[in-house]
Amino acid sequence: MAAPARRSPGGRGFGAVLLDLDGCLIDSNDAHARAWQRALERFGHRVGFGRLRMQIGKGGRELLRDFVRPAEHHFLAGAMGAVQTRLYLERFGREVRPFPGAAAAVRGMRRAGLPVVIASSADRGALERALRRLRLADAITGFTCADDVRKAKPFHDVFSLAIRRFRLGARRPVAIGDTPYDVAAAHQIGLPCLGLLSGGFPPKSLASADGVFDDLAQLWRGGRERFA
Amino acid sequence: MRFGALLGLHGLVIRVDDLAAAERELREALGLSVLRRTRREVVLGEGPELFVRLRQAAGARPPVVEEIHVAVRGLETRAGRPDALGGLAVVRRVSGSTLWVREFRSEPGPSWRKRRTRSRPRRPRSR
Repeated sequence: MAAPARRSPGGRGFGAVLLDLDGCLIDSNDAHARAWQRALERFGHRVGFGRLRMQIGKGGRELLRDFVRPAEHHFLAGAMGAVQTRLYLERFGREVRPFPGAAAAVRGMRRAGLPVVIASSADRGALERALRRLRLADAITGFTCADDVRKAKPFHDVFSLAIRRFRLGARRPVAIGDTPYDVAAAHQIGLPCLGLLSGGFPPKSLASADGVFDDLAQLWRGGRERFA
Repeated sequence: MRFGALLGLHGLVIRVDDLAAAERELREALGLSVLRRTRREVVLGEGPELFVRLRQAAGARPPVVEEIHVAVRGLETRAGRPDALGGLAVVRRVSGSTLWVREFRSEPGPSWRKRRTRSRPRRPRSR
């Protein structure tokens, strides 16, 4: 299923890509939700998988606001996030798979002259592990992650920082993500956002995206003319 | 001892002569629940993030704050030791009390684990 994507403002193609990681390049959203479930259990909270799954895509601190008390959030959110990352990475090899054609799409973007920056709410350790697995370290321009900003998605900071750090403002960048939090974060700063259904979010949750595609491979195959 | 930011006070250990009265007054004033209890002490609070530990004094004396626990971010790793609260902690003597400076880094040990709660979705405020 693919809905048409708007071109960049002014009718010219998008000239740079801010790409989310989880749910776009790797099939990891379920693994993240399971790791959060186990991490929260170690701090005394029993939370259903379905409720956590719908929050994946937010930064850890933002996700935890719905599940823990304010004092816990203030003092323990960092520790909870560290435990979640540890549990996620312990099972990374078994539970996380790259999406077919996703890494090839990034290499294709790079060959076409598009800077590709990974802009993720994951922490640095998880992101670097995924990039090694995908063998994409040399194909991307760089990355921004939760460790680089005070507020991760659904706030715009990882996108804003990526645009600033890699000087993409004049290149008509576009965000690509799989969650409503990517769309919200991008739209906060007027950045167009293409949605991917590969992350498992219902199509209606991506209704405000500027185009929706099945996955990254399909976006690059079918939507190439939208890029400069 | 170096750290990045002081997050705040999260625990006190107080020696009191009337354990039952102190427990009752604190529970009434703050609504704290009992995390665990022995014959000579009671720990009130929700978990490692917020607690008051009351200890029975040997005789009738004014209450004494024995320990002050503060949480920080970015504690220099070499300085701290892992503790049962899931933190890395540095301990100092300050004016007759013991100051614990702690960065929470992992899950608490069994003695500090709260009873499992099922968290419920937040309800929107009614207008």
